[in-house]
Amino acid sequence: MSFVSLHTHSEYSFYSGIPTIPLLVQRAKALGMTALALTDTNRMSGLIRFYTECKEHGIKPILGVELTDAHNLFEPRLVLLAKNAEGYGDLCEIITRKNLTGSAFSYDACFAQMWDNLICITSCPRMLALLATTPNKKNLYAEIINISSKSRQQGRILASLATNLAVPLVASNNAYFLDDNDFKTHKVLRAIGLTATVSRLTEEEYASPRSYLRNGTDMHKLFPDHPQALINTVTIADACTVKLDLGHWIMPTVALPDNESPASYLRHHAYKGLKTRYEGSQHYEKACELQEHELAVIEKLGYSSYFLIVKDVCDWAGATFAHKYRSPTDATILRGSAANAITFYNLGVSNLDPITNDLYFQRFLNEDRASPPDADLDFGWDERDQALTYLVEKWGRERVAITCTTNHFRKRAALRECALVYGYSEEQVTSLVRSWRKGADHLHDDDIAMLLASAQKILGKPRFLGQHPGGVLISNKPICRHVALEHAPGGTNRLITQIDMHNGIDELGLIKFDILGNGSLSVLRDALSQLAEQDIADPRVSDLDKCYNDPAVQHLISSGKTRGIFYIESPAQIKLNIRANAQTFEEIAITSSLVRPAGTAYAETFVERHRLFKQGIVNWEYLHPSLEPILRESHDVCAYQEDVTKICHQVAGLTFKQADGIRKMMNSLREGSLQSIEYQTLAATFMHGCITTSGLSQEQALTLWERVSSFTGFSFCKSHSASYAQLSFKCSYLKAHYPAQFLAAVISNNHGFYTRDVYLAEARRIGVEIFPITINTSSIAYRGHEKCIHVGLMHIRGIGHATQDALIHERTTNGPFTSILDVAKRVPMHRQAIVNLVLVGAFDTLGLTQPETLFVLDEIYTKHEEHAPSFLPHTTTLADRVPKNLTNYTLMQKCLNELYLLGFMVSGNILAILDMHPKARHAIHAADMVHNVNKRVRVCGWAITNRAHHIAGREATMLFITLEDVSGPIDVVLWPEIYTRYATILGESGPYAICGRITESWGTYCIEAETVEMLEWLPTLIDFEEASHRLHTATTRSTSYEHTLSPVAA
Amino acid sequence: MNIPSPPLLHDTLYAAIACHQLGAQVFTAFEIVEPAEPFVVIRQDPSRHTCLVWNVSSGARTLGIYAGMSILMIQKKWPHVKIMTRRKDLEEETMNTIREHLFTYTPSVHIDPLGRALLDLAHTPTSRTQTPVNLISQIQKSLCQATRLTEVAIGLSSSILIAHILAQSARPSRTMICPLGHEDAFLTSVTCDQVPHISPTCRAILSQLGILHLHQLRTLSRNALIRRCGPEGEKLYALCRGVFVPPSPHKQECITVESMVSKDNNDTCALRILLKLTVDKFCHQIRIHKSLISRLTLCIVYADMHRTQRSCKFTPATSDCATIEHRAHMLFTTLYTRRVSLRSLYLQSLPETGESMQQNLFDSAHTHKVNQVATSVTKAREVFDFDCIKSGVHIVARQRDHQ
Repeated sequence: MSFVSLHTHSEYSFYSGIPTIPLLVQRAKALGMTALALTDTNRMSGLIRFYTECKEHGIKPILGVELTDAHNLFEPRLVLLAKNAEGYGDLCEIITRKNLTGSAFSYDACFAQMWDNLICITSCPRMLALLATTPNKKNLYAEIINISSKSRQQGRILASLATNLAVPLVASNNAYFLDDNDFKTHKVLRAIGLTATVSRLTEEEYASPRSYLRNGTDMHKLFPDHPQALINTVTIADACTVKLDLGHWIMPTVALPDNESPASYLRHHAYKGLKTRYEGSQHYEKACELQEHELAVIEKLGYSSYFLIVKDVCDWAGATFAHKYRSPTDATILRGSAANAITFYNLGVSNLDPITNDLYFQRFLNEDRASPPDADLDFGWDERDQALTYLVEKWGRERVAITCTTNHFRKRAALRECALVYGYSEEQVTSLVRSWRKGADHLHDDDIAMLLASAQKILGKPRFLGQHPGGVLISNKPICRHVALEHAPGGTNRLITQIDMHNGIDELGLIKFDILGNGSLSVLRDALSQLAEQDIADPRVSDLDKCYNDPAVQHLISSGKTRGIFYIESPAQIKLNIRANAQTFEEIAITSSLVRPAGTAYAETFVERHRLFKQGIVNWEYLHPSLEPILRESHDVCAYQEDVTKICHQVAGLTFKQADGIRKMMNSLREGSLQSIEYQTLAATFMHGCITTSGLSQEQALTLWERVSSFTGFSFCKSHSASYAQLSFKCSYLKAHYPAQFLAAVISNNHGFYTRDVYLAEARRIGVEIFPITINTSSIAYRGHEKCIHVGLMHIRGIGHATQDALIHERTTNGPFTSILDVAKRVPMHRQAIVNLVLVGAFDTLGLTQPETLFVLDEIYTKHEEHAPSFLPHTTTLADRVPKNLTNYTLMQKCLNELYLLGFMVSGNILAILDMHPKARHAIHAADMVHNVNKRVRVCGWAITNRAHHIAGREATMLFITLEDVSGPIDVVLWPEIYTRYATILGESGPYAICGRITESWGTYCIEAETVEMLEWLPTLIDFEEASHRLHTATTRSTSYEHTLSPVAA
Repeated sequence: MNIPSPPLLHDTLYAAIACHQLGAQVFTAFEIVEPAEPFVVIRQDPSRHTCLVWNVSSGARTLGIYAGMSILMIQKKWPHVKIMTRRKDLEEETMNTIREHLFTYTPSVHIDPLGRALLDLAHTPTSRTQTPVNLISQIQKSLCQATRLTEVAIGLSSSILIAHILAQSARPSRTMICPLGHEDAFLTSVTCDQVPHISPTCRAILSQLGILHLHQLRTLSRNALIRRCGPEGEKLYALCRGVFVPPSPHKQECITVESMVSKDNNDTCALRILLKLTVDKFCHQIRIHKSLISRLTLCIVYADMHRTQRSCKFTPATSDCATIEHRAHMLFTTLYTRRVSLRSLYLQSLPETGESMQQNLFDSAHTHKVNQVATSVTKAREVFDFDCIKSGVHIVARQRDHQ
């Protein structure tokens, strides 16, 4: 029987459609359909995937979309189907127009023009009457549905209207699911989407149980009186033949000088750069050879424009963001495999020399690679938006968009949402989710089992679209002709695509440029700006070679004092650097890759061999001589992604495509995949290749495969590690020589692995004094100067950006403030904001104590005049108005005020105060661990990091926690038995008292915890005055850190 | 004949009694809990994370537990400590016993629900026959025997304020006396924290201004105190000069009208009708109070006992039913979520001012007529019953459904 389903929904009709696209197509195939339309609600996210799936299954894809406004599934609704590729573009344009205009979208205005390449189908009488008056009438059909009494009633009205208007009928089933078993899941999704409960849904809000995909026979039974309506479905399907040009990259056309092609222009710039970089050097010839090879590959693949666009953005960033001391190339970092290309090095996009660093271009681009190049360009976190704006302005608003990401229901969200729509309260849901995660027994109750079954059914269904952190798409024609767009979530003024990276952006051929934010670039910028302001001329800052060879920098890194330094500040990285005695650029590049999940298994071997190697001892042999050139740097262990690719290509003789395939497989290998046929085939091919190509024995080949296959999980490519290591060295240089300025920049950018109080403690340990806020000198950001850091206004609770700006502007324009009255008069501020300023000590230098200042403040603000101060006509001076007997705050009050309003103490040191805790009496300090190896000790400190680690195979979890006391950090390991016992109290910042045994490994110390106690931190338990006295008297301790603690500013 | 004047002590003599942590003590007094057993008393639902300790037993105090601690922390840190729910009946019984017992000393006894009592002992037989020290020892001993409480503190002074301060300072079970003539010296040494009947906000303001003692307060003018502490500044001005100011009378009661939702109602229309009926009852209450409202709060209580509320202002204050209904519906629209079933909804407002009858000078004839009808309805309902006149919202809704 002839019928084509022209109104079908997939899961991309968010919160209503059920079937995934592959299942939908398979079902259509099983029902014997030769054509099928996909018409998701206001969304085209699944169309490209649907198109390719249909082609694979031999079904004719009809691309469409359903336009609707309301939650009500029966309300004004219009189905649009594309007749051809141009029609697909029209669909994208209409959806984009609807999304961008929102409630202002008008069907009258939109369909006043003729859309030749679209078929319009509507089941709404009002819409039918409207469209019948437009030029689109010749492509208009009235949709009759027979799935409920209401739809039948509506169908009768529509049929009579259509006859009057001479509009043909078309039969449809408006399918939301594959069979009626999915109806329950559909209702659950509708309830979630409408934030209602299942019992509260009205009939108009969900589809009929009979809205499933039907074949022609069923449809003929449903429409015995309208045979023509069924034939019309076939007529429409015949008219809709979309042939999309997929799989060809649409390279944006770059504006070029006359007589230049992208390839020639790129060649010109690459060789120009090559001369600057290499002329006169020993690598010149090799560089020319490499450059020529790369250009040949780039030209062959047609990616010249891509390189030119990246260069253009980078040049713009250099020109826009380059400040004093910051060279243009410091404004961005090219990370990832793109830095392998000498072309980017010669174009000035990358600072990493691929020859001296032995980088592997094929990891980035090779002739077998199907996907386009992927260059990730980092900007300072606060400069990234400007870069995006530049791209939008340069290429035109209509040609640039950001890739979306689709967020799906995961286990927890699925269970939560299901429980909520079945009427469970928030408390019940929270407790249920908690018990479910712990696998409690009551989950076997019938109700809960039903809930879990429902959750299982919505698992993986898309929920909403997000914004990709970097992926910018640029096209030659308006991008809304390629893909439908909508506003990015979160109120940003950006546009995102409706199709994500996994559902067709690549197939559409749109090229992605990754523009990412990086906090450390901003840290570097701010630290250098401070040096410039202070007229400190140190040209070594921008000379990388000087940074690499600086003894202070090397000592800083190898002794693990790298907190605040990008990329090498995590406890695991610090420990690895100490253990491997890593000092050089190459060592940092290797250790920072080995610390990632794929490399951790090899870290111990590397440390052992590397320490011996540094003493001139080599007591190991390569598995096979052919591995020596590949793994020389890392002493016969795999450290980088390239190592796997190189082994596959050079030792096993596989093609680049195969080698890249193995690398990608290892990156995302799961336990179950080990048994897969694909994995076994790859293993056999690899081993066979090793034996035949490089002459490895069977046993050696097997061992090598085991090594390659155990390099699983997240890992870095060498260029990525090395690019970031460059930034690490620059930051290290700044920390070693200008710690105050550097740490001030770290805190100001809210950047780093730790919270700001940890960085302030670090500053105190290295002898930097912390100065409190003063109203007449403090700036918004923290400022470092010589051996002191001035706290900025930016972190005071209750003082927003506008107030901060107003204060600074008024001070710089009209001079310093003379009193609190002066501030209140000149800067419009809320009373509480001034109180907070007083309590953090901003007015302490103006002659009155904090209580006295507050007393004066109340002279102008009464309890009921919080916003508008009334200035009383007083002729007396401020001092006259203040009673003489007001008691000043104690040190404890001041410290607690600062802790509350700033998040840290300036007048005191919270670590030293903890030292005075009664339970810290017999505890040793971090600095004393070296003298107590293998002894049972007690330590007290605040937790600054806390990372649980799941032990594969044992189904157990252990915890790594870093405590901090006044003398430094303490690494603590909690083995599964101990962790299970104390899990309920771990997970906060503490403070904790931990007893355990100290172990030592290659100069690093850690405590294997035996008992854990969470200390009650009541300031009343501690004598602050004595703590402050201790701060004054403490000078140096036997520690790897210098202990010049800051005096108390009381 | 020269009659010698009676000793000054007998002119004014007050004893203030403070039963420390009465809510906890009653459990041991009635032998519900062993005296040595540590326990805490709560007033909230212990399963909620917001639940705090209200009263603490002496055993729990020695562990370091104090009132205001989170109950979750207690459960985590001291799992053996019992958690008891407040027993108002026991407290009331104890208070009655205290009252009865204190009447044996003086007929002038003022007692509050928290176990604080004030006795005017001037010119009473016991005060004439006994020294002050013996007197308060006897009161303490006999009171403990009569009530089986163990922690009763007493302060004795010729000033009410000082007696109260002494009783608070003597907690949990001491007795303190301020000798005659030393009142002023004593007051200068008293800290602001010891002064009774001051709100926590006011205490925080004083602490922030560095005013820790009463002698510092004395140096400030009345205006300066009012400017900083609001109406409590007036009270502080008197207190620091030794004048006792009783706690503020209870705040004016709100007009609250609540409607229960009888079943799991799925119909938004029906809920709106319920709201309309609630507004009708609410307006009836306003008219009874002969007042206007300038602020209206709608609170929705869900079946899981979560509640959500929102308020709106009326400028000028009003009692007009149509205006109140319109705003109530607006509030309902913003608050109502269909996800959880409703248990009840209520409207609340503080009656601001009495109606002057001058607000409607320029009302239209129609409005005037409506108001007259409303007033008549209220009068009729006052005489008979609220339900003697039914609201017509059901009929209107039914007619609309038919259409």
